[in-house]
Amino acid sequence: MAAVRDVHFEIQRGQTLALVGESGSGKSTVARCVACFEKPESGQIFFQETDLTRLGSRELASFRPRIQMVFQDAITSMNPRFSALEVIEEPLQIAGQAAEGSGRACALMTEVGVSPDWRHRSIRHFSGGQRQRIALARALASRPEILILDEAISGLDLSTQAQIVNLLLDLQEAHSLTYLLISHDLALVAQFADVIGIMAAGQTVELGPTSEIVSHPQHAATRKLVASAKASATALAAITDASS
Amino acid sequence: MALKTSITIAALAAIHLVLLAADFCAPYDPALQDRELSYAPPTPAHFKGSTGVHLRPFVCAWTTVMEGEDAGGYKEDCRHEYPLRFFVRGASYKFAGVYEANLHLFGTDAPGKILFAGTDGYGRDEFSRLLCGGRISIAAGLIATFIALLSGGLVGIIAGYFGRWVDEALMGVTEVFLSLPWLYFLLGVRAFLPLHLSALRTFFLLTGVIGLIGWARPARLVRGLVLSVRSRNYVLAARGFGGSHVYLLRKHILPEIWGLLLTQAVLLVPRYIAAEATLSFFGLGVSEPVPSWGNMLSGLQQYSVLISYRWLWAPACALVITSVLYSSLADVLHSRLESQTT
Amino acid sequence: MSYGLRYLGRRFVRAILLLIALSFLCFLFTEMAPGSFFDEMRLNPQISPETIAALRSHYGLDQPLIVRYGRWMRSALRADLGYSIAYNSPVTPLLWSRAKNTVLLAGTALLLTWIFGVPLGVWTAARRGGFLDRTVSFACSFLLSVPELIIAIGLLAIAVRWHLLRVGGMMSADFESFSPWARVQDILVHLALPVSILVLSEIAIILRHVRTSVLAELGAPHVQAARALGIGQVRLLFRHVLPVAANPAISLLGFSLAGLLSGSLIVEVVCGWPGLGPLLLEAALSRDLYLVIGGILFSSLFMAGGYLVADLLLLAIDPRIRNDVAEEN
Repeated sequence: MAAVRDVHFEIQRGQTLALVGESGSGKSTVARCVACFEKPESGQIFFQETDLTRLGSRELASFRPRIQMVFQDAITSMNPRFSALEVIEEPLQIAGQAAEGSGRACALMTEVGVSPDWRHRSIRHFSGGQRQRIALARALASRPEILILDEAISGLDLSTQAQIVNLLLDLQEAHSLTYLLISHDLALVAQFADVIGIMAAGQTVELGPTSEIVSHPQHAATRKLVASAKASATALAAITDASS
Repeated sequence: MALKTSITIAALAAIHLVLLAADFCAPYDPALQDRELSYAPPTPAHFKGSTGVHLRPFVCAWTTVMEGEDAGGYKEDCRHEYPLRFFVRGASYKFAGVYEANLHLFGTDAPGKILFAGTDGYGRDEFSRLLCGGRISIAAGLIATFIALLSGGLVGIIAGYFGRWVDEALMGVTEVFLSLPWLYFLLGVRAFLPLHLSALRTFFLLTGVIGLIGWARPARLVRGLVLSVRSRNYVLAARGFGGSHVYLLRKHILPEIWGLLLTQAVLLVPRYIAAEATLSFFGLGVSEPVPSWGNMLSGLQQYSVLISYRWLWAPACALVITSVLYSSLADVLHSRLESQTT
Repeated sequence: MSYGLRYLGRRFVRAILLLIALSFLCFLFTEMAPGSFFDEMRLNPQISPETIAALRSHYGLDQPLIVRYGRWMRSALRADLGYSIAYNSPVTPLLWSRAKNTVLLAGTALLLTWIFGVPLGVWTAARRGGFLDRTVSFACSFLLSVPELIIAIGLLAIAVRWHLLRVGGMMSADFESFSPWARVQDILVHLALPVSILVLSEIAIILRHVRTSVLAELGAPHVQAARALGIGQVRLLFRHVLPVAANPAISLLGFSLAGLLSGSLIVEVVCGWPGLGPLLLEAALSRDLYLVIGGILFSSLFMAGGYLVADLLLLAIDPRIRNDVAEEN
């Protein structure tokens, strides 16, 4: 049984597109295909005029640095035996650019808001938010053009989420990045996505600018997501009102 | 590290060191027969002699009882006292197989004999045989373990890393090997190989066979671990950065399996020592006159020897002590491994 | 249930493939074996080379490997496993008569290991940390470390020294003159020592597994809930915990069979029990080709059979749990 069947979307350079859906809607599969961890059985993935699905592994290797992924669970996406420096340097090591490694790693750490003095500490000693920042630094190491964030913000507490979102916006501006966000939290991505695609049961059921999706949801799945987002926002407002 | 673990490791290290220098630590040539002293019990140590109490113990000679109801047995003849001496010149041996030497850790003046563990049916010093035999048995265990882990580890890594049909095929083969009653198979394989070879060749053949039969379980365990590590997100990420197979194996996968290999090693060594002992006991392993804990025990198959000459149990005690030490170390390592992975 | 039948069918096919692979493996060794039964004969100057060559072709030992294997395979399927040169008798009846004794020994040992191991495992788990638990755990650790050979010799010594059990062989000298009931008794008396050795070697494994699974089950939420509802300890153990505890023991059945067969070889040789063990040893020492292969195949047959029986039992109890436990092993 196919996880994903009928998916179609386009991202413009410098834009942020979010794929939103419930668990099992197939969004992670899409993310992995775009990041070239998996090959779709049919269909094409175009990256600036090149169809990635047609490339052999050697040719694909030249594209990989330009498409990077940040995973949901920071702790599993990094080898617990590694230090922060080793984690960030890894893409450079593999690409054979180790020479610029240490300096660049320190610069990246500063940029994402983790003190470079801690670069020799084991990953285990960092908090969830710090690890996600380090993951971002690693993703930026190879100077990518597009970042895929697979539920990268969902697992964090709300205040950390806000900080990371701000960081993402800053980075996007500084490096002209394009983002593909994967999330189940419509309210979260609505804050900074330009285009939203709704996924349900392995298909994109709706696609459009954020304002459109939120104010005029067409598909049943979309309406459900919007409704629950609004409900939690109302509840939060009610609690805030009640306590103030 | 806990006290118990430290003691265990120290004890094991001591045993291995002593056995490594078996020729030096043993007072006599293990092959030297003395028909006059067949089945002699261990010589008791005396501190109080004709000239008063000494700090240095001495032994008396064994003489055969000629008449009376104990005829054929031994009694002490203390007319001559043979004190324990250290660093004695005795039978010559080849140190590390190359250097001729004849220095022994302890001994006594001829014709006295210090018999820590008595003598066997041919009058050979059981203690010397215990040490030299131990060297062979433990070396067999260690080498066989190395072979099993090397081959099993390689297969496990290949199966776990490349997956799919390679994995299926290799695991199918391990199932064949795991379903065999290992001793039957060991016997069978040994049967097909030449029975009478030089002692060295027999030894290597034996260890090779034991090791090659035991590769299946480590292979399965390593494969399981490699499979799980390979699918972890950080390995996927490294692949995403363009990491080659060699890189992934070297940096991410291999560091994870050392712990498993060590635990397996400590588990397998006593089993393979026992396997060598069992084979030699049956006459299919190391054969006379080269001693091994196994073939030293085969004399015990006669009931009279089993009951009357209890000092000949020494190899059994040695086997048990070594196995228990290794097992308790294995338990510690295993629980440490468990706590690391959970 | 059709899922179960399909599964069994697959296991059966796998067992057959296993046996074929095994038999070929054995045959492969013959090609590598730089010697044979006739080496001893060759050293004897009284036997001429022509006689040896004639004997070789008589037994078909000068044909290429594939031909020999093919012929052997065909006759094996007709239950004819070749001819033993040393015993001067066809292999199959030789193996069969001995195999029965081995099955008797291993089967009894397995039964007793279960009968003592499972309840003890449950009991020590129920009274965790108590005196019994600690003593039994210590004894288990010790027994697991001691090589089977030593356990065998040790018990043998005790039996001989204190005339506790009948030692040696399967029957007394005047067996033929016994009444049927006396014969059974005689065999049982001779069985006692070998079985005791085997049970001591294997019980620790079963006991530990049962104890672990019972402990895990006792800590499970639904059992805690039952206890909170006031259900007594004994009833808890029997109705809720024991059925689950039996599962690993049953799945272990297949795996412990391997250990049991290997162990029974040692025990048979040491105690003089006339099973497959001493036969195979003799064959190995005299390099009797067909007997060795036949012996290995017979024992592998048992193993495959044992696994299938274990699978059947597990299927009967709970097909779901079987998969989980198989993963653990």
